[in-house]
Amino acid sequence: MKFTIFFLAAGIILLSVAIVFDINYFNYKRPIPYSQFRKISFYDFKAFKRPDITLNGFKEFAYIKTNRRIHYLNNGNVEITTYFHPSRSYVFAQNIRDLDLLTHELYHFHISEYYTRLLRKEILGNPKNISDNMIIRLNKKYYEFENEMQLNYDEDTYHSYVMQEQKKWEIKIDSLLQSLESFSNPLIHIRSKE
Amino acid sequence: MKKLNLINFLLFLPVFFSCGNDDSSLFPPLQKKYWTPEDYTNANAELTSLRYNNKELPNLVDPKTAPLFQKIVDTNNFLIVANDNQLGLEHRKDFISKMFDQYRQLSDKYDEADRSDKYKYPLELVEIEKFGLALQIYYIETGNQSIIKNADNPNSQDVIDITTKNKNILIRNYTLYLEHINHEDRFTDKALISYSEGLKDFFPKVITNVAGNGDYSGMLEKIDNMLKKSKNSSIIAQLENIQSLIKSKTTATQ
Repeated sequence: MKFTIFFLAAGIILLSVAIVFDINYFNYKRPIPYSQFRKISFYDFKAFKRPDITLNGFKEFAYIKTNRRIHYLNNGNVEITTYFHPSRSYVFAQNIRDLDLLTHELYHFHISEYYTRLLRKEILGNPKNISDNMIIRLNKKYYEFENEMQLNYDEDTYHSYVMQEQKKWEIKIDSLLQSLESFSNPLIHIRSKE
Repeated sequence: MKKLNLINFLLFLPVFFSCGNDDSSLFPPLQKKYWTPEDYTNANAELTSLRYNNKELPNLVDPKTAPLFQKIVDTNNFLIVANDNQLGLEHRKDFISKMFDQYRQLSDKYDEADRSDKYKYPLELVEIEKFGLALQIYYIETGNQSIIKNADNPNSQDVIDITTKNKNILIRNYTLYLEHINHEDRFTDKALISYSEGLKDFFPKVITNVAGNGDYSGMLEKIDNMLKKSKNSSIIAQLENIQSLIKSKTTATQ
């Protein structure tokens, strides 16, 4: 019995450590919406650094966690926002002022926002008849598209190592975002009861 | 009690799955798309250790280590930086310079001969030499570009002299590649074919583009001598090709 309790306690401790490495609750910072992206620096990357972790041998790298949240408002409208998660994002660079690396990570955030805008655009294309389930399905579809682009971005730029590819992607993403500038407002007026 | 054991099992499951492999080798991972000078430093340290302990070095014969050797001589490792015009010149120059230091250490690792004076890794030695031929062009070019960029007067005689001197160093280094013909018998036929491809792929580019106005007298003399020594028809053909290329260039500039 004592043996079992020991293992149970050890298991709980290990699991807690694993959870803290995923989300740093000791230094928690609320998710930052896309509208605030200019204020983000590497000091906002607060997740714990796991010892001896490398990215295909790269010792200096960063990881940015983004997602989009859909808020269904009481008046029937929907608010869709792209968020950056400081406590789930980490940086392994010794030089925390490495602007190239930060720029690379922020463009992951821009890609997320691009797909959020595409989602808003599609919802606004059929504002009267769209259901919550349809929004969930569309969101899933755009996550799949986004993941593919995020992977291609990392593959082409090799996590910002290939600077000329990085610059090409920056131009491409800026252009994509600009083309959907009219869908940059998180609040979408649909099914409004007002 | 059974429930408690099940909970224990589930709690420890992620721990078992998260255990990494115990690979103590200093070689950088093959999955890393481009190796940096720091990676080559580690690779050289591992190669030194292997050679010191009389263990087999990564080579093209062993299917297990062939991908690793191919990674070592993959010119993309430096071309991706050398040709990236978005990177600063000084950054590229430093990168190539560090790569060059590592290359020089690398070539020492594979030149071991057996008791019958045959190279233990003849093809690998040639591949490393070819890696060096490709690298040296960028080493000299970025160095010269930096000298020109940082000079008060890029057209001054001092600048012209030093950049020409650097190009002549490149020609001398290329001439060292010809030195191997003195020891043709240390190589295998396959290695000699690869060697002759090195003559074909790199020398014309240097003679016509990179160091067109350089001093090729030493190289010409070497070629004359090696033509008398070589017994390999592919090498002889390439040497004659280089010889006529240099001579035609000399005639054209006279």
